[in-house]
Parts: sequence; structure tokens; C-alpha cells
Amino acid sequence: MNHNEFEKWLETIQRRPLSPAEQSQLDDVLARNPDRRLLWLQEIALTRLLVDLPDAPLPPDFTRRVLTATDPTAAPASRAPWRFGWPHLPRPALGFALAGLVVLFGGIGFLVQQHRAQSHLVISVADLSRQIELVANATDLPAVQVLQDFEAIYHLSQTQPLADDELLAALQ
Amino acid sequence: MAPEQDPDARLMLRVQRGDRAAFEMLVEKYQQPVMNLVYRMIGDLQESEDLCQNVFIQVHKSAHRYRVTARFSTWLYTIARNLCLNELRRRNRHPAESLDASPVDQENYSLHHQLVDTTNPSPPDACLLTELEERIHRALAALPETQRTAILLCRQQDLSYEQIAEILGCSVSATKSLIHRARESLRQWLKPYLRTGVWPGVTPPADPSVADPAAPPK
Repeated sequence: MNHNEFEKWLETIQRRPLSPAEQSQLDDVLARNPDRRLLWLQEIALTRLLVDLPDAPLPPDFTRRVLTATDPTAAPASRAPWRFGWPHLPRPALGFALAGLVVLFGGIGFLVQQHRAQSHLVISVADLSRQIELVANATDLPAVQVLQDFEAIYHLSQTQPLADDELLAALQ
Repeated sequence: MAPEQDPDARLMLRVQRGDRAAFEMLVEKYQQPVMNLVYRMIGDLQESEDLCQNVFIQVHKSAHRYRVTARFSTWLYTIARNLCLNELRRRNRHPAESLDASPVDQENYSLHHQLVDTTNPSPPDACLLTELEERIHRALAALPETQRTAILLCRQQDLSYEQIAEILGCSVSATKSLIHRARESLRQWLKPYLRTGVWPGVTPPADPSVADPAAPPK
């Protein structure tokens, strides 16, 4: 018996008992391959041990507990309690609520920003008005033509006039 | 059996339409097999009860996502396995929070310590397990998670290899390999009993059919 054939027999016995015909066939195979007999017996014993493991204990009201936990008509008190002061809302409502808060705060921030911008504009206009008033009250300046020879005249006034003795003698 | 012919799949379709009676029937039918799987996966009885309950709550919540592309039991055991994996990972991240639960091998999610403390067992556990059963429980707990899951699902004789492979997320040949390796490990662990029919140092049980491992299955 090759390895694959033996594995197939093992797979079968792991899933179900052998039929009488299969058992007879296997007995013939094991008679021809006595080296596999011990392994086969251990596999059968292991299969029985696993199948015969007792059931894990379950509380008798398990079904009732599951049905209660999944009951959509359960009283609000039986649902999840308020958490951190917020009601237990279904997810879509919670999403909408959060989106609404975001829009609200965004709108408030926009309005504050607008108000500050307008205030800044008002201040700028007031400054401009004061500056215009200042200029308007300034002394009238002379005409440009008057200032044409300004530098020469200014320089002349800065120098000491020399006495012209020769001119005076001539005039006498 | 094709998924379309699966009576449990038809029940699940009724659950989708809000049929509470259909859901109750599924809970009644599968609560024990699921509890058996969960308990031997994670090892703590109280947590297993809670987790088993969560499996069915998840089934109810996810009813709208169920599609008849697989048998209902495949889908159910997949949910159960995933919740068990989450619990094992949680223990791995926060071992101090699970003082009553067994430490977990970080790589393989095998449960190192014995699942029942026979030196100081709690009264319900002491009543529940014989020495042999406790040894089997410990041997299963020592397996890597994938091997343990594979052999526990194989124990559910209504699951085909294809279904087990789908639950594990691997090929049929890989599944058979996992089961083969798991059985080899268990044979090594339980060799004294498998060879003689009794556990060394333990009084043989009264039932003669249990004492003879060489007796072929009936």
C-alpha cells in the first residue's frame, strides 16, 4: 500500500466510520502491510478521543440571551446607555449630527472672519479721512514760478556783500 | 450539498427578511457546535460564553450581507473563527488584562499553559473534565491556532474539506496538511494513552469500550 492510499484511508476514517465492505478491504490491506497497523490503530483511537470529547457547557438560557440581545424592539433602557452625556444614536443620525456641528462651527468662523475684515476696512477709511483732512488744512504753497531762481537767490543771501569802493569813488 | 439547497441558508434568507423564528432555529441548532469550537479555541469558559453569544449577535447584525454563495455553516464558522482570532490577538496585546486566561504564544496563538488548573481547579471545571479529557484539552491548546482550528472543524463531521479550507482561507491540500500535522502532534502528546488505552497513573474508566483503543469504531 503506498503512502497516498494509506492517507486516503486515514482521511475517510477521520470523517466517518467505515462501511463493512470498506473495513473488510482495509483488513486485507493491513494484513499485507503490518508496519502500518500500529499507526492505523493509533489513528482510530485518536479519532475516537476527539469525537468523544464532551460538549462545552452552555447556559440553559443561551438562546433567550441571544434573542434579547438582538431584539430591535428592546426598551431604550436595555440598549447601550448614554455615553459621556451623549445619547446612543444610530450611526446615520450620529453622522448627520456631527456634520451639522462641523457646518455650524464653520459658519460661525466664517462670520467672525468677515466681521474682522469689515472692522479693519472701517479703520482704514477713518485713517484715510484724517490724512485727507490734514493735507487739506496745510498752508498754501507759493506758485512754482516763484521758486524758479530759488537757489541763486538763496545763495546770494548767504554771502557777505563786498563793499565796492571803486564804484563809490566813481559816483562821487 | 449546493448552497442553494442548504436548508440553513434558506433560514438565513428568512432572517434577512426579519423572521425572528428562523433566527431562533439557527441559534438552537448551532449554539453547541459553535460553543465547542470557541471553547477549545480560546480556552476560557466564561469568555467563551460571551464570545459564542457575540457570534450569533454578529450573524444577526450581518444578516443583510449574507449571500447564498456558500453554505450557512461555512459563513457561521468563519465568523466564529474571526472573533476567536480577535480575542487571541487582544490577549497578545494586553496579557495583563486577561489574568484568568492562558498566555498566548505570540507567533502561533497556541495556548501554552493548561487550560484547566488541575492543582486548584474551580468546582465546575473539576466536575467537567476527567484526567484524560484534560490532557486532550491541553494537547489541543498546545497546537498552533491554524492546526487547532483545522482539527476542531474536522471534528464537525458535517463540514467538508472544501468548507474547512474556505473557513481557514487556504487550499484544500493545505487544510489536509494542517490536519495531518495536528494529528501527528496529538498522537505524540497522547501516545501513552493511545498505546495502552489508559493514561499512566490514572485509574481506567469503567466503560470497557473506552479502555480498548484497538477496538475498531462501531
